[in-house]
Formats: sequence, C-alpha cells, structure tokens
Amino acid sequence: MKQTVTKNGIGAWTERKYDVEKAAGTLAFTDDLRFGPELLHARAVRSTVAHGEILSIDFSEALKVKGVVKVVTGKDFVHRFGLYLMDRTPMAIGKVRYMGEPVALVIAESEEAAEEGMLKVTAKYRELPPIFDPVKAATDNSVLVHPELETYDHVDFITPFPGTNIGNWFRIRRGDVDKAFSEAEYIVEEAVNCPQIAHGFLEPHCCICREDPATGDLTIWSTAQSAFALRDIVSKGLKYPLSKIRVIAPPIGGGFGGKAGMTVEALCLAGAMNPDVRGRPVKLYIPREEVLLTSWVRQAYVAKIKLGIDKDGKIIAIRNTFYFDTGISAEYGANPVRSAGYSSTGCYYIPNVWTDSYAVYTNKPFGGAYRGFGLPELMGAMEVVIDIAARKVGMDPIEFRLKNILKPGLPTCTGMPMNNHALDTIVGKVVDRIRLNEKEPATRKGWVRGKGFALALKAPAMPADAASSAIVKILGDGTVEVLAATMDMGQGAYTAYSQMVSEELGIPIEKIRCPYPDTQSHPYDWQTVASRSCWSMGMAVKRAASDARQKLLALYAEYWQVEPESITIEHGIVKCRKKGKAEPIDEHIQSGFPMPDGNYKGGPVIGTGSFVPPDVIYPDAETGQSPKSVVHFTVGAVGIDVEVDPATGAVEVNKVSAGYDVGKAISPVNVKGQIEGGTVQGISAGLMEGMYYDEHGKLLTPDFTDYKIATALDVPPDLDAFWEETPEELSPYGNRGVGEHSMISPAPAMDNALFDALGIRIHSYPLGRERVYKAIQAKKKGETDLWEYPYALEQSYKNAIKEWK
Amino acid sequence: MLAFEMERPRSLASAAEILEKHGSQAMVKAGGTDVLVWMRKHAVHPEVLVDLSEIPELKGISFYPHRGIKIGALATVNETAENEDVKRCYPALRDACLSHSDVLIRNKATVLGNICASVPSGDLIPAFAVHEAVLHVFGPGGERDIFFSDFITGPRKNSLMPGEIVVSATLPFPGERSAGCYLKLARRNALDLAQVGVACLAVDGEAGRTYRIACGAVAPRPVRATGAEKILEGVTAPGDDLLDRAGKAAAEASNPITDVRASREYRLSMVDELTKRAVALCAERLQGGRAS
Repeated sequence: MKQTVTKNGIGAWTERKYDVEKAAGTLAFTDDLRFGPELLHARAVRSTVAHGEILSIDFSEALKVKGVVKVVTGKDFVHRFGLYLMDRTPMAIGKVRYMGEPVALVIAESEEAAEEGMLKVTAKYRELPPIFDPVKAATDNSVLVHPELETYDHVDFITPFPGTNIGNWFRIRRGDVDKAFSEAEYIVEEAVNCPQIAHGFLEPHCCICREDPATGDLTIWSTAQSAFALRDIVSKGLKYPLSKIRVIAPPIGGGFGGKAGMTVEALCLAGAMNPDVRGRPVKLYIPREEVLLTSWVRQAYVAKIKLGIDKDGKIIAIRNTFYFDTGISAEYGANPVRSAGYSSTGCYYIPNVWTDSYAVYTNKPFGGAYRGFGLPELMGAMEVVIDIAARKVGMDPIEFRLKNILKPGLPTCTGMPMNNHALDTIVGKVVDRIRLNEKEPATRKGWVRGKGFALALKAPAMPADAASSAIVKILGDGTVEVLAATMDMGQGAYTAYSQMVSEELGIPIEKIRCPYPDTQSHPYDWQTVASRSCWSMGMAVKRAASDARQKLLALYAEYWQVEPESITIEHGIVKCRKKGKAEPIDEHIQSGFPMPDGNYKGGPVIGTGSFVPPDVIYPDAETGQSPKSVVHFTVGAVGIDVEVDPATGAVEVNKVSAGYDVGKAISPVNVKGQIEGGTVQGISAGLMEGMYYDEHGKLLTPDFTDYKIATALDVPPDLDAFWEETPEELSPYGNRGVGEHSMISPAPAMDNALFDALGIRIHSYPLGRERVYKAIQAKKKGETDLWEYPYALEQSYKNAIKEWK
Repeated sequence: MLAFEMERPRSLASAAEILEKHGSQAMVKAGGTDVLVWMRKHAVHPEVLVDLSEIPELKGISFYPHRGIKIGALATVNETAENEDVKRCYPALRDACLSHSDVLIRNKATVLGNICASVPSGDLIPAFAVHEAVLHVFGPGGERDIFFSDFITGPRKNSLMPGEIVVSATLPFPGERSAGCYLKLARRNALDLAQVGVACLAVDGEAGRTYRIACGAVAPRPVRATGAEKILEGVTAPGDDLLDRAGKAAAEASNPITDVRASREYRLSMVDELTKRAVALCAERLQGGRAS
C-alpha cells in the first residue's frame, strides 16, 4: 500500500520553483553579490594575433593607472586545467594560440581602473603561421597547435595523438564495412558542415575568488553549472585538497553547457591567489563582447557520411568521418566528439560500421559542451544524408527511416542493445500533425512551402562513474529542505525534485525547498549536464526521500505504538486511521519524540541517498564496442513546415511538431518547456547562428550586434511539443533524460524542409537568408547542391570589398 | 566602461557652453543607445558626456498643416512611430521607426540620434532622404539649417561643426496624395541592423506622379536612386519591366561592402528586389485612392 498522498507528486502540473523571485527580480545572481570595499576587479588583456610567441608584455603604464593594484601574466600562474584533457591554461604562457586569448590580468580597485589598465598593457609577438581549417589541421601537421600534447594528463577514455592536432580520436569498428559496401546496391556519400555556434545565455560569466591568507582556503562564487566538477578541476589543476576549496554557485542566467566544468574561474584565481592580492576577493566579470573569447562554444564540424544500402532499402554499412573543430582546447570538447562517435549510426540499425570522430585543434576560440553535446552535430549531418539517401533509393524518407529504425533490442553501433522506446508512434504523430505527406500551397504570396522531418537520439554523455547524492531534511515545522547540487538554470530541476520528494513524503510542494548549490553544505553531484539530473540525481533524491520517510514512519510507529505500515502521510499530515491519529509534522521531527518508555528518540530526521550508474563499461578504444556504453538513449522526432521567399531567401516557420520518449514526465510543465525551448534554440541555430572569423582569425561576431539568435518574431507561432512514456527500467520513475534532445534535430528537419520547398540541397549550416538566396540562384543555374566551406569563406572574405575607398 | 563625467544642462545655451569648453573631449547624448555602446566598445572616448535629455527646446513633435512635421532632437523612435500625424502623412518614417531595433530600445533611442550617428545602416536615414528633411542646428555660430542631402558625409561622419547640436528636423509635407514605405532586410525579423533598407515616397502632384527612392546600408552615404526615380516619373502603375529597370538602376547607384552581415553581391541583389517592392507597394496604395 502506498503510504503517501499528495496533489503535486510525479506527473503533476505545478508551479515552478523560483519563478516568483525571478519575476520579481529579487533572485540574486553572482554579479548581484556584494563584497564591500575589499573587493578587487579583474580584467583580461587579450592577444591580438592568432598564433605567436610572446616576446614581451609591458604593463608598466597600466601600473601607473590610479587604482590598478597588480598585473599578472601567464608565467605567474603556471597550472594546467581540464575536465577530460588538461590542455588549458588560464592565460597564455610563452605562446598565444588564438586571437583574444588572455595574456595578462589587470587587478584594480574598480572596474573602470581595471579596464583602463587593460587598455594600457602592450604585448609584442613573433607571429607564427596559424591554422583555422580543421580538415587541414587533422591531415597536415605543418602547424601544431599543441606541440606539447604528449605531456598533458587526460582521462583514460580520451585518446589524443601527440605530434598531430588531434586532441581525441574516437573509433567504431564493427562488422566488415568494405565487404558490405562492395555488396551494396546503392552508395550515398555526402558531406555537411556547420560553423561554431554560441550558447547565447543571458548572463555573462562572472566569478569572485578569495583565498584566506591564513589557511590557504579558497572560496569561489561563480556562474557555474556544476559546483563539484568545478571544485574537482580546480583541485586537480592546482594540486590542492578538495576540502580547502569551497564553491558557491548562485542561480545562473542560462547555461546550455556553457557554464559546465570550469570556465573562467582559474583566470580569476590567477588574480586572487597572487601573493600581492591574496586575502582580498577578486571579481572577474566577463563583458559580453569577451564571452566567446573566454570560454567554450559549440564546436564547428565537417561531417562525411557514406552509406551502403541494399536493393530493399536496408542500410547495410556506414562509414563516418567527423572533424570537430575544437579550437585551442579539447579539455571538454574531446567528449562531444566521443558522444557523436558512440551514437554514430543515429536512430538506425546498421550492421557494419566504421567511424572516425576527431577533435581537431585549430587557432581559434575553443569548443566544448553545448546542449546536445555532439548529437546536434551528428544528427545535423546524418538526418540530411538519410533524406538524400531515401530519395536516391527512390523511397519515401519516412518509409526509409522506419525500415531501418533502431528497434528496441537491436544493437547500437557500440553493440549495446537499444532500450525500449515508442519511436514509431512518435514518427506517426509528427507526420500526421504537420501533414508531412500533404503538399500544401504557401500561405504567403509568391513564397514556396516545404516540409521536413528528422529523428533525434541522445544518451547522457558522461564518465561511467558520474555519481550523485542528495540529502532530504525534514524541518521542525513539517517543511522540507532538499540538498541536491544540481544547478537549476531554468530547466526546472528543483521543481522536479520537489515533486519527487512530495511523492515520497506526502508533503505538499509548497513546503519543499531546494537551495542553490554550495559544496560546503550539499553532498556531491558530478555535473548538471548530459540530461542526467532527473535520472541520476533523481535516483539519489528518491532514495534520500524514501530514507527520510522510513525514519519518520519508524519514529511515529513507536510514538503511537502502531505498525509503521498502518501510518500514512497525507498532504503533510501524519495519520494512523486505526488509532484515529492525525497530526501535522511538528518539532518532534527535529527535536526527538518522547516515547512511551519515557526516553527521547529520533532527533533531526535526515534522509540520504547516493547513486552511481552500476553497469556502464567504457567502449573499447580500438573498436568502440561495449555491452553497455551508456545508461540509456532518449529518442524523438521533429517535423517542420516552412515557407521561403524566393526573392530574398527569407525563411518563415509555419509549424513545428516535436515529440520525445521521455519514459515518464516527472514535471510536465518543465518537459513541455524543455521541448519548446530546445526546439526554438535548434531552429535558431539552424536558421541563423554562426561564429565567423576574418582570414587572420579575428572573431567578427563577438556580441549580439552580429551574433544573431532567433527572437520571438523568428520562431513559429505553432509549436506542438509532446511526449510518450515508455518506462526506463533503471530509473527513479521510469524517466529518461530530455533536456537537450529537442535542440538536436530542428536544424536537419529545416534543411530537409528547404529541400522540399526549393529542390536544392544545402550542405552548410546555418540556413540564413543570404545562403538560401544563393541556393535558389544556384538552382536556377542547374545546380543540385550548395556547399559552402566555412574556412574557404574566411579566405574569400580576405578578398572582399570590406571598406569604402 | 571607462570612467567619464556627465553634464546635464537645462538649456540649449548652457549645453553649447559646455561643448565649447570641452571641445573634442565632449560628446552629446540623447537616448544614449549608440553612444553608450560605442563607449563600452572603446570606439569613442569622451571625457564629458553632455546629456541633452533635460533641455525643453529639444522635446516634442509638431505638425504644421501643409508645411511639414518638426521632430525634436529628444523625440524617441516610439514617440515618432505613434504620432498621429506621422501615421497619417509619413508612413515611410513610421515604417522606419518600427523596423528600428526593438520596443525597449525604441523607448530610449531618438530619431535624430539615429540620423546624427550617421551609420550607413541607420534605419531612419532613407526615410529622411526621401522626405528631403531639413535639420535645424544650434551652435557657436548661431542657428543654421542643413539640408539632409548635405548632412551625412561618410560612415559615422556628418557636417556638424564642433559644438553644434541638432535641435530638430523638419520633414516637409509630402502632399495630400502620397504614399510611402520603408522596406528593410536583415538577418532576422527583429532587433537587427539593415543589410539593405529602401524607402520610397510616391507623390501625385500638379505635374503628375513622382517617386523618391533612397537606399540605406549600401554606400558610405545615403543613396538617392535618382536614376530609378527618373525611370518611374509620371508612371502611376509601373509594370514588371519598368520595376525591373528601376530596381537595376537603384542597384547601380549603390556601392555596398562585404561584411559579416551580408556580401556586396547579396546587398546589390536585394537593393534591386526591395526597390521593386517598395515602388509597387506605393503605387498600389495610391491606386486605391488612399493617401497613406
């Protein structure tokens, strides 16, 4: 018998935690914290060349600026950091590797003084030839971004290749691809590329660090998605005990992966730990114009996919070559490369697989975690290639997909059997809802209309031992505090955890609180990434809440002299019907119960829960094979109905339908929000987003003047977000990850829709107005495909008329 | 942003005095939506920022029937867009206002600030060009008027002398039977700079139909597509051939650059396209006998 009753448990539509504070503007973000006159401000001085030896850095003029306290350079703080591969220093040491890399840090009494000091620092360089094109960088070692690669520490499941620009090489070798290709009836070989894109979170990075001069204890307040991973990375980089580092993560204004791991904190520590500064808190606020130069963005990619298909339309072989442009650091970017690699047959069962997925160093700002984590890149290419292949084979693209779909139980490319899912149901709904099979006239005069479709799939990409833990404290007035070190950055984790706790404890959601992470109070959680939190931390929260419930029931049982099984908790009231008892939870729960034997028992009721995925095995380094490479896959599908203005290339989205198999929607309001938000983000990325450089490696799109993301006027008025619930076996409530998935496939669905509308295939993202216009013109000249190589565009930019004479 | 001082004079005379005192170290600010961003990006370095927002002479919009509309230096873009006389008689100006940035920025940004910034992509510029606006300027040498066609001299350059402040601008009354529009192409539907902007004003006067066409973001100075205007002169219902010729003529008058927002080639094609659309739209509106 279920012993708890609540209105806002699993699956309830509820209000979201912290929405009131956000709406009122009273929630304090990192930049809102006040430290008094002790606070110092830091500002980075940045490299003006893309690749060069530092000959000198002159900061004598900066020190003359009133208020400037200290200038530190790379050689004052020689520590390497990195989540998976320790290839990152907070400032350049000896050599700069991209334009905009920090070379010095000016620390001053005010922001203005730090800025003025920054402008007065001059550095001289001996320029080295830079490399920007990842395919060239991977295949020609004439320029090495990291000649010291072999000296960098890395985790075992990353395989860098010293002497090259390859920061990670992930492989799948399954079956016999050569034989299968020789037997195939059709061969389809296509390439797709996409530039780097940026997260576009509202709140720039901000960090305050302080070292206690007496003990050496470090306190870091930061815009961090993952307080504990940040602590780990700092600890390993500095060789500092974990217990001497405290990370406080106030609410963050959007992350999307851009605030995972360690971002700007080491740069701030370079100031705060300097002997001349130590003791005073140092604040490093990254201005919007410098965000993309300071921490990672999504990697650019060039994907080549070759499919072998038999006469019945079955895909029998695939050969993938993915070049991820990881810029100057693969510390985090090495892993999306792996994630794309071990998912590299997409949503299809393909018996013979050969995949090479490379993280390639270039002299650019670096790539790392971004919502989707390798899968928007993989699917951005694969779902386009599948569409091309279906047409080549002469099959309807949906029929072709369903024929090859990765049914439950069939092996993925790593050999792991696919989990249960309802992808065929989702496909059917999406096809119906956007009337994919119906050619409809455009609603705008002179425009053309098209519809496109794409599948999505993703597993949490994380180390096998990514663990979580939680504490559930029942307070003396019957309210509950949940310590779960997930960062709720809008995805709604705290609402979901509150619903879990409400379900387990029978306490209404209004009485449950989840404070933001602090490593000093919260128990460990690996990271808020990978769409893992409701699943992994969900396991810990459920266990902690059940633990608290059992403790509570045992105490009341003895207090009332009844069996624990006869007690229920209903809307915060503890009841025993048999004895006619009904009491709200009161101070006894923290101070102890006076038992019939005259003794006090209990004391504060605290439930604890821990979880680590029990059975994940790293894929074999040579073949990529593993009986269980990931914890589970979430699958879904997107359909898009678009119209194009052929005279300008403008694209308007009429309707989107997107559905995912979430296992169980713990918090439907948030699942809906995640699907809608990710769909919009995916449409934005597919339609207009890209970071562009000139031929010298200068970023031309550093801020929102020229880095464009979709506004409310650019997204469809009609967005149908839905889900199916095929329960996951090892899961708190059957739920699977869904946070990132909706971002994965809007872009390829859009590409397929544009092909349907225009009859020409665009192989390069984003599908901006000028590019679509170019495709329309190319079609008029009889072209069937438009391919624009981003690195060739940089070179052509060199010769363009950029200034008026 | 680097430290700076701000002065907030209460009269035009006092503003002029401050500007004279500080010379090139001072800059004026109305809405501040350009100047403050430029300061943040270290594109300009004023030591003194002269905030004009408390000077009564600079406020407001007044319409003088049959003569024109006078827009004060502090009139915001939204205030202008919502003005009833602008709605009635200056649709190109209204379109331009509504295409500018977003609602929040338009509450601060001023129409004349956009003109004085003199950035090639300024949305208000083509509308001022087709309306043949006159700028009323106050400065150390007293008051003077500058024809808009003489005002912008290059990217971020204009013919204001040191110490001069634009007090207001007059857009002459276009005539009872006129139609206008401003069409803008950008990378997205809101809050973006124009890749190309085309304003058109069609007037049925005593001598018959005339067109005025101006193109923004396609040359260092605002482009009046006089070749296209001549092609269309007198034609009340231009057909496709004529529109094509007018579009080509407007493109020929343009000399865009390639930058991260658009290539020269795309801009040229779009000047052609938007010119055709703008002319057709104005002709269609007048066809219906509706003056708008």
